[in-house]
Amino acid sequence: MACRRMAAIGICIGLVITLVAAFAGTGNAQQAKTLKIGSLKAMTGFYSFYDTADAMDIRNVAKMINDKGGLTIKGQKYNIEIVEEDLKSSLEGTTAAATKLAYDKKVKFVVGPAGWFGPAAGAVFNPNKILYVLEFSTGQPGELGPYGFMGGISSITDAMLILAAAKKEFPEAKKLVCVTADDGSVPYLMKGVKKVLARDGYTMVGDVITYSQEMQDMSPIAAKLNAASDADAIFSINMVGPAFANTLKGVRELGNKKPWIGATVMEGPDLITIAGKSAVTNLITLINKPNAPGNPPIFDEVYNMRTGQRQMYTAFGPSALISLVSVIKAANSIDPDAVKAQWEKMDTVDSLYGKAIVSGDESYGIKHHALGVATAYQKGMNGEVTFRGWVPASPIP
Amino acid sequence: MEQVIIATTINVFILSAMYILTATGFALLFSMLGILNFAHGAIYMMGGYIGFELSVRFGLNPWLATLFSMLAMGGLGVVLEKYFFRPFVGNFNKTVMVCIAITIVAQTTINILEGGKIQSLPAFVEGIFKAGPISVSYQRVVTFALGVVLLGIVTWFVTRTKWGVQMQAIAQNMNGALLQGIKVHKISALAVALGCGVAALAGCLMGAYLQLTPFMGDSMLTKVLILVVLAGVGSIGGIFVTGLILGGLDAILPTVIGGATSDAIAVCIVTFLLLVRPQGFFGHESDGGEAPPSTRVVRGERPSRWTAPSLWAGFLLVLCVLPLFFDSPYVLHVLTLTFIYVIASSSLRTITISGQFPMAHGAFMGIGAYAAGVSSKWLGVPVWITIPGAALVTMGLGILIGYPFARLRALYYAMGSLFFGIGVIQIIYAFGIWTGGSSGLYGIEPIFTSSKTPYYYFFLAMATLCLLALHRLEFSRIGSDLKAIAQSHLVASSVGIGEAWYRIFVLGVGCFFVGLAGAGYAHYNMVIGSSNFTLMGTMWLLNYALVGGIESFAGPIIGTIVLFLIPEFFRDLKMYNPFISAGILLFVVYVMPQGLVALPAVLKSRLAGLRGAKGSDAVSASS
Repeated sequence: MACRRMAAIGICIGLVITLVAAFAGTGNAQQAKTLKIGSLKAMTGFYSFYDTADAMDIRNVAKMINDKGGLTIKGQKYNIEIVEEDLKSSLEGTTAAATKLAYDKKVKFVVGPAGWFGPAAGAVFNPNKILYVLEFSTGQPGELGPYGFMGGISSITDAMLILAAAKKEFPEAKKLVCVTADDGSVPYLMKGVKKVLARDGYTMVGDVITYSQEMQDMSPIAAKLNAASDADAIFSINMVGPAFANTLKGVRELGNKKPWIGATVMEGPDLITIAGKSAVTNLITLINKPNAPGNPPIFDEVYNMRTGQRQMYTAFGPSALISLVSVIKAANSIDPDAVKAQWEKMDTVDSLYGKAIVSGDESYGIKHHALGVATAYQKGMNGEVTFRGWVPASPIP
Repeated sequence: MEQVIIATTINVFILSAMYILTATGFALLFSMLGILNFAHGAIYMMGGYIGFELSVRFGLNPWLATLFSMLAMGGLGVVLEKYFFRPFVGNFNKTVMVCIAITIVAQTTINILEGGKIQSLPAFVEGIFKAGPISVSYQRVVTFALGVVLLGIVTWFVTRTKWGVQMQAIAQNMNGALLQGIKVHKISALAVALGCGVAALAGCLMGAYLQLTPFMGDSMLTKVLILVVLAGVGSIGGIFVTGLILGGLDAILPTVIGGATSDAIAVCIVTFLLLVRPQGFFGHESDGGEAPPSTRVVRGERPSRWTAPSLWAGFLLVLCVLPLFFDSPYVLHVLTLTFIYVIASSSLRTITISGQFPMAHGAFMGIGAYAAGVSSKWLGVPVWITIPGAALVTMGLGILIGYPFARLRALYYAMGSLFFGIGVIQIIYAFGIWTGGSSGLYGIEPIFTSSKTPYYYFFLAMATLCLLALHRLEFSRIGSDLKAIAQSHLVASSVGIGEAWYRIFVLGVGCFFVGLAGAGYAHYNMVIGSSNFTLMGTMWLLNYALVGGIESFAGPIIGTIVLFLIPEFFRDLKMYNPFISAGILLFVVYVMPQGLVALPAVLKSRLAGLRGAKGSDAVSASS
């Protein structure tokens, strides 16, 4: 009898515990809402080369934020859900993906795309008041918009940062021969770059040398750069990694060992892979080097969450998400208009590279939509690439 | 200055050798078997990646890795010849579809496995050769030497060996070769294996000299096409001269003219050369430029007729009421784009009924789009003027270009128009200040400022009217004359049909409608870039028509709906999505060779077959 009673009490206690736990669980689930943030990335086509790893980093940043308790806005807890769409490396694909995010997925915030696809995304997002954060900007004003902000970095930021590093590494270089890709951004980009050059006491030798984006063998451009005998150094501005490395190889092959100031983010081993050891000398470039001295902790944390094979660490996308989340928190709202208003009145926002300075009014013709961030740089000397530290963030003109 | 001249002179030879090296494999198949292997770029890319894997991952010597890569690609060539090329000998359409499918599968697979990583083969030879003012890396010297040697070996093989002569015999007359006891399939397989092996060698060398990417074959293919066609059909040795011309232009022009303008001038010069000598510098002048059999537009037996007005009226009615049931703006967006592409692919098909193969149709769509976009953005011209105005501008340019091209037939017409298409893209890049260059043109005035629904009905109406007009033309007297020209231009001329006039006319009509589609696209999308209007853009328009069935007026409509819509609705597959397009292409090629328009007929015959089988089973059971 006593055993039966004990068993009945045990069952009752068990039931009570189960019910309490179940209700407690339901309570928690009801508490945390989901904040959908779009991720507009190239998963197919030529640009997937850059975007696939970046997309993974964005997902990891969202997981990291959720694991740390998510966002709390006006007392309501939110977990981030990343809604990914493939922009298919084309403007038409970008419009289709943006339309899907805007209307079908009903997101109010988007991370991406890269600057080239920015106008296509803006054509959908701006009229629908969807706040989007570009992961990279080439300098064309159409890339940013009323609801378009810059996260990550830009060609002008890159130029500023590497020139600041050049002052330290190559103090004797004052006259620069400049080279950049002819992707349609040259008139806008050079306006900003010329201001930075004048501000930092540099002189441009001749006109900027431009080349077609389609160009494979960069030897003709190397010959042109080599012919600028008046220049103390070569300054490459908006060049994608492979084009930069091939031009470097071509210039060095002609026996030109002048200092090279490269505003391209490229890892040392990748640079050596394409240009060859002998070409990697007397140059500085920007670098996203995980687990290097002086890195902001979050910079390494995001990289170390990666699984699978080694891929490029562009860091643009995750930085854009971190900036966006920091402004949402500051605005204490998930209304894009309130977040937009908050961003436009902030002086600094968080980024993967530490505090970023909200600026670029003159260069972009739009108030407080661009960011000046800090970035690390590396030096190549006699085939060895060494990490040289971080260049602090400064405002874009 | 002296330094630039020396460096440029060296670059002329090195670039020429690079082009020759990459073009030799393609030229071999094109000249010997008449196979326009548009998958050559993909094979070149795969060859490079195999060489990379063997040399970097498995630590093999780069030369040995290249040799294995050549053997592997040669083996793949045998498979390709048997299952992908042989069944479609003499059929340009099917060859194009198969090659595009192979390219998609190869690029997507390598992108999934190797994308996002900067990779390059190790240098074959380290160091820099210096002699006085000359300074050049040994790697480039090796590339140059191999390019020249390889071309010499292939030329010798084709002209001096028994197998090479047999290849030429097959190219000249396959049936005759068969009758003479030549093992046609064996020799064809050998030629494809050789072509693929040479492509792998080029991929490995370029993978060491430049770098590897899954899409490295695309830009190379354009250069190769220019080189081979300029050399002329049937001439492998000719690519030595055209390689020098192209290498010279690409090495000299960027040092004189900056940016994208140099590319535009180079393509314009090549187009002019082709106009002067349409059969290429060393091509055969057979029949005033008639194409080899495999590159003719194939017009086979007519599939089932899809002309029942009630069927189309019902379909139109469904489309009209669709927005009432689907309130998804995304679905409406995709359908709106489908209507635009239906106009573009149907207008392409209209040109093909005259027997011409327009390879610049995507570029003409771009002309319409940019004419509307530029006049709207920079001149503030209202939309109701820019759309018809852009269509007229496109038509005018089409006629202007059609005039010199009218004397070109079949392959030469296709290639001449292909160069024009490439030239258009380069001009868009060169005038970046107005066109936005490779970044695209944005800020184009929209037609409506409200939701997607007005756009849907606007483009549905536009597509309906355009299709009615094109249908009227095709089934008019003019349409019959155009078809007569396609059957035999000599017979048509003998009964007084002015071939050149008709060809210019139909090109003008096709350009008008594709210009209209392009202008509408620009005002709908509000942002335009060149990527839709490249050679691949034309290829997709062509594939829409081929998937549906190019023989039927309904073909491009059905093809666009299937090939554009289905992959769009499988967006969630992300990196794997391109396999859908490849799957559709291969399904149509192998299962429904007449295109999807033949689906009812195929189903009907299968059902009849089943009934027949059941009937015979019943008879046998009862007996």
